Amino acid sequence: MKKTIKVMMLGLRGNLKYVFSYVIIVLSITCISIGSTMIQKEIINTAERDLVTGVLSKRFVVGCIVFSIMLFLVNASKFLHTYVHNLVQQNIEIKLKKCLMFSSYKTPHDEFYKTDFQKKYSFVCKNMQNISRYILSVLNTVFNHGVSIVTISVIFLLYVPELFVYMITIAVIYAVTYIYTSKKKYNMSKEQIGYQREADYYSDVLMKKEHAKEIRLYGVQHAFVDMWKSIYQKLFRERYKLANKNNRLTMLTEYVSFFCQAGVMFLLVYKCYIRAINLGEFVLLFGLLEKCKVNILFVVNNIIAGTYEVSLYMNDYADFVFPISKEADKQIQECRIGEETRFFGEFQHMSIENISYKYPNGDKEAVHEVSFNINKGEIVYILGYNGSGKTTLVKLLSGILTPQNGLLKINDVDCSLCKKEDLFQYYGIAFQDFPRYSLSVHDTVGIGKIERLNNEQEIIDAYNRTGLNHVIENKSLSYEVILGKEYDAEGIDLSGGEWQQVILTQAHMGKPDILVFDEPTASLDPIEEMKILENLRLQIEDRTAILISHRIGFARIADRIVVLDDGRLVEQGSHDELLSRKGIYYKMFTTLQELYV
Amino acid sequence: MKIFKRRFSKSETADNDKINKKEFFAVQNRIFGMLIKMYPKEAMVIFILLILLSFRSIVFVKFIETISNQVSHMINGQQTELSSLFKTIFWFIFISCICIGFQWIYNYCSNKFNELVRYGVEQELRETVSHISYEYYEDNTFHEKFYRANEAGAQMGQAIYGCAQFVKIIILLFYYSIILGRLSILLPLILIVVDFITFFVSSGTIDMQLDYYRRKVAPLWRSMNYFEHIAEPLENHQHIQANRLFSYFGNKYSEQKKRYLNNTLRMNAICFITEVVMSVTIIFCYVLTLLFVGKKLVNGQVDIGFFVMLFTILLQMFDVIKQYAGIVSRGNWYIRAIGDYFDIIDLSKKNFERQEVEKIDSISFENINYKYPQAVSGALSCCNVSFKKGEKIAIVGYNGSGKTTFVNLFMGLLEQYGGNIKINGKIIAKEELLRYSQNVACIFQDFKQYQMSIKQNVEIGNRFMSMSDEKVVEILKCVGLYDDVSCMKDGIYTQLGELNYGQELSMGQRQKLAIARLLANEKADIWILDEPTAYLDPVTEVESYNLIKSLAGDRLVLFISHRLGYAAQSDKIIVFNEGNIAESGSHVELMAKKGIYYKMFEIQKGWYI
Repeated sequence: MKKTIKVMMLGLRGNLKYVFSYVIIVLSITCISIGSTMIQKEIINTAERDLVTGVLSKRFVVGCIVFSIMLFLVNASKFLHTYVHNLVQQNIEIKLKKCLMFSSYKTPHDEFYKTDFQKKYSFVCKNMQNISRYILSVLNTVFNHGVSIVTISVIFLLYVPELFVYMITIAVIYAVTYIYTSKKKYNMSKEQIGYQREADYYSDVLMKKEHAKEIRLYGVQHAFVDMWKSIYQKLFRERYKLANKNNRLTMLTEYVSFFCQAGVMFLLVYKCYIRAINLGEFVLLFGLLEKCKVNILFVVNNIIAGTYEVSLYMNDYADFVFPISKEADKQIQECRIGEETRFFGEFQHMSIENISYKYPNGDKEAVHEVSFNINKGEIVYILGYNGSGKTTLVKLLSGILTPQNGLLKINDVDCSLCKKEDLFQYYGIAFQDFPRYSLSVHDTVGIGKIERLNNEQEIIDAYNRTGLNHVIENKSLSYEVILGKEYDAEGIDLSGGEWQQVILTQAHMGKPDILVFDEPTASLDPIEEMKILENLRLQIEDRTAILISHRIGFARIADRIVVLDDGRLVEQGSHDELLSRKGIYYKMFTTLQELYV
Repeated sequence: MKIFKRRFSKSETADNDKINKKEFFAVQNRIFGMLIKMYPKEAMVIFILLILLSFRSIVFVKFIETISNQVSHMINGQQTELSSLFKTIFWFIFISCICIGFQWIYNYCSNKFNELVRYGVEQELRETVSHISYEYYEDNTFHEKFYRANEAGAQMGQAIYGCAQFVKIIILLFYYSIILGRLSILLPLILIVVDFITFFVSSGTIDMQLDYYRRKVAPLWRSMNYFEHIAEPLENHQHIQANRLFSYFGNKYSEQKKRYLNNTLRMNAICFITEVVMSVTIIFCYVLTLLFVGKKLVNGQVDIGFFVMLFTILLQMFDVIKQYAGIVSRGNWYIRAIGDYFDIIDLSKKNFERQEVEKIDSISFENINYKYPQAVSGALSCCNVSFKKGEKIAIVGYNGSGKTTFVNLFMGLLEQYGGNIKINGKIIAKEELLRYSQNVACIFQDFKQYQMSIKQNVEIGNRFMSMSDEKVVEILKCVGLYDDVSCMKDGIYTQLGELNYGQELSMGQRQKLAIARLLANEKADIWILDEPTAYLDPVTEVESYNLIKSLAGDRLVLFISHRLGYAAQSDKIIVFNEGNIAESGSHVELMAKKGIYYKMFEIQKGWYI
């Protein structure tokens, strides 16, 4: 409960102006609609009196007109209501989503390899909308239906106090049922999340572009449709079974509450009989019985049962997001791009001391007690067989993964002492599994050094370093064109090699102290490849580069080659040294050499 | 508001032919038709129950009339007996209980119906989209439609609700006209006319909104959605973290969301004026009716119960119509998604079933041109080349020179090409090409690892035809993956991917798995290898290259690679440049020619010698 309130406050904070106007609109709509019920009563009473006199009184005509105007106002203001509702809703959504983005941004990358974490994360992401919708619906319920209920109970107490008991009774009955059913629903959706993900995966295989070629070539559509069907049917059967069960229960409640209502009707008739109320009041109270039921149902459904259901989602969300420090809150609110910090000063050297790392799902260490040094201005080449831990090692060096053992020092300062952001600023990384964002070319390159996104000169420098400017100009594209067809109708797809060039440019952006290229040229043609690698020494000037590649020929340009085998460092030295050692490096190099003689 | 109106009408004339004024009704009709055809029994039951349920409000109205009359009489002392009053209430309770029972059955049926329809809709979409020509994926308009159609599964439930509302309105209208007809024949006529005007006007606004939605809102929704989920995948998270992109994407997201919001609000504004006009007319009619009935009441032509009933009727009518219009204005109107859904499932499906086709002995391309749907210039132009069984061909070229497009043609993925493709000397029709593609096996540049067991990952190459464990093991041994696999707990039944606590394979292992998949299709006459060894270490690479070569037999093998050392060993090398075949011939010939190939080869050789 505490968490629910905390999440709600988080959503509302910062949007107070809109929230306030929303509340006022909701309140006025409620007041008008209650007022129109009262006027209805007046009109009927007047009509009854007029029936006796035989003349249509002015009071009746005025009543009818006022009634219609009120009806009109209620309807017209609904538009305003929708308008403000959307506005507030979106603002709350933005706020909550940004908080979620922020906390996932702050979560150490290691966590993402854990299946449990992934499940929890996607559960929270999926239910984001539920949460933000709920916050507003609580406001709406309290100020619309809550106020209605209060007014109705006042009317009840004024005319027939016994009706108040009726109200309480059905409220309790509804509350019990709906809390029970929503708990069931929540439990089911939590159980189903795994299957849901599986079904989503099969849908993706069937319908996403990235899989489209393969499944067509293999002709395996039917197999995947069948797999999707079997999972979906399972989900659907469970959902259906629960819905029926809940349906039975709610209908039972419906009967009980109806009998209560019937009892109350007798009471009302009796009250008329003893002349405690007149016809207008009878019609009014009779109408209010139904209205009261509807309102209570709404309140129970939205606030009590809704809170129960959503508070469970909210707990997950809160676990994920909280605590948000003041500083973090400011950062979320403003979203200002950070400033450059030089925590370690000018990069001089880096020492890696006995670092080891094991993936959460893995059964053995991916990197085992590796130590070596990197000095300023060096090009270090990491080599090894597939699965020998090269990529993991680089991720450890750049701080994306945190080693379980061992130390990483830059300029003799322990890297675990600084904030990750400070460490990341020293690197420009081209990942092997790079994301293909749908952004403009300019921004895709610029985000390589986000702090200097607005520095046009630096971006142009980066284009020049990898020759991306030639690619773009040859295709006669502008730098503002959006890459990928994710959302932009004019977006363009790049080929694998062109993408790789973009990513290399991104890494070069802003002259990072340490460049990391993981398989930088796997899909580049030989000429581009040579241009990029041959000039690497020139381009990095006196900065440092770490390369991972299977194109062993390029190891020559490196000052030092580090050979990994099964997570362990087995050889290191220059090209000539390693060749004379006749170890793994020698074997690899000669194998390829044979191709060209 | 004014600016917006102007802008809207301008663009409306611009693509006037696109706007189908009757779209609303067309889609509605088709939904009705589809539901009745697919689930006749359930649809009938639901329909009948709906009619029965709308009697609930009729009973309620009637009850109000009787009870008001009786109470009024009682209060005025004309009738003091309670028993007739209680009798009325008893009847009301009785009928209401039956109605609640019906409601229960209705909920039960509509639950089932909703789930069934949703299942049917989603299944149909998946089946169609996975069977349409690959070319649609290159088309941006398809992507947009598809994106919207994806919602249809959830929206179909809304559609049933909308249809139900429609039926309910007609029934109620009919009944109320009978009641009002008691007074004067004019009243029901006016009521019906006003309601129908409302109805037509609101469906007109739906069409207008629909158009605005498609042009201005849906594209923004896509981009908003894209940025909303951008931080979720694993590789994006690592990149965002390392590049400190939170603020950048946070800003992007809120910017997109706000733009989306603005346009949504504008879209809703379209119906505002019409709605106000509608409300004014309806309410005007209601005031007149009230006064008219009031007059009759005073004259003693109707009783007080009737008057009270009229109040309820008017309010109910108003509510029902508003509810219907509400489906529109609240933004969860279903037609926008379902119209696109129908468009998608109407696309022609292709047959991917395995059929007996003749062996491919030779294949030749004559004057082949190809241009992607949105591209400015062609990806391939004037390609002339022919291949024979048993040849080992290397395809080299610059990045983006049309190599991948060329092999896509082989696999029957692209159809709108110009020129002729001949197989075994016969010209093959464009639609026929797909049939031959089952004789092609391929490893793509961005091949996938499926989140299933290792065995299934291999079997998929053979169209999921079940293979014996021994056979799978044999293939895995062939590609050198078996040592790794046998170390795993479940052997070849090990699950891959993070979906089910599965194992992650390294890039190299994945690539070997892809080669295993290639071997699983024993019938293939043509192998296409699109950069298959880019992520392998040199030793494994040479091994797998030799492996592929030794296993190829008399198959035609097309090998795309930037590693020219392999090209040197092939029978023929084709060099692509800007969508053309620039050079072709054996290694020796091309080296003597001193063209593009020579230049590339010399550069690469320099690294190793």
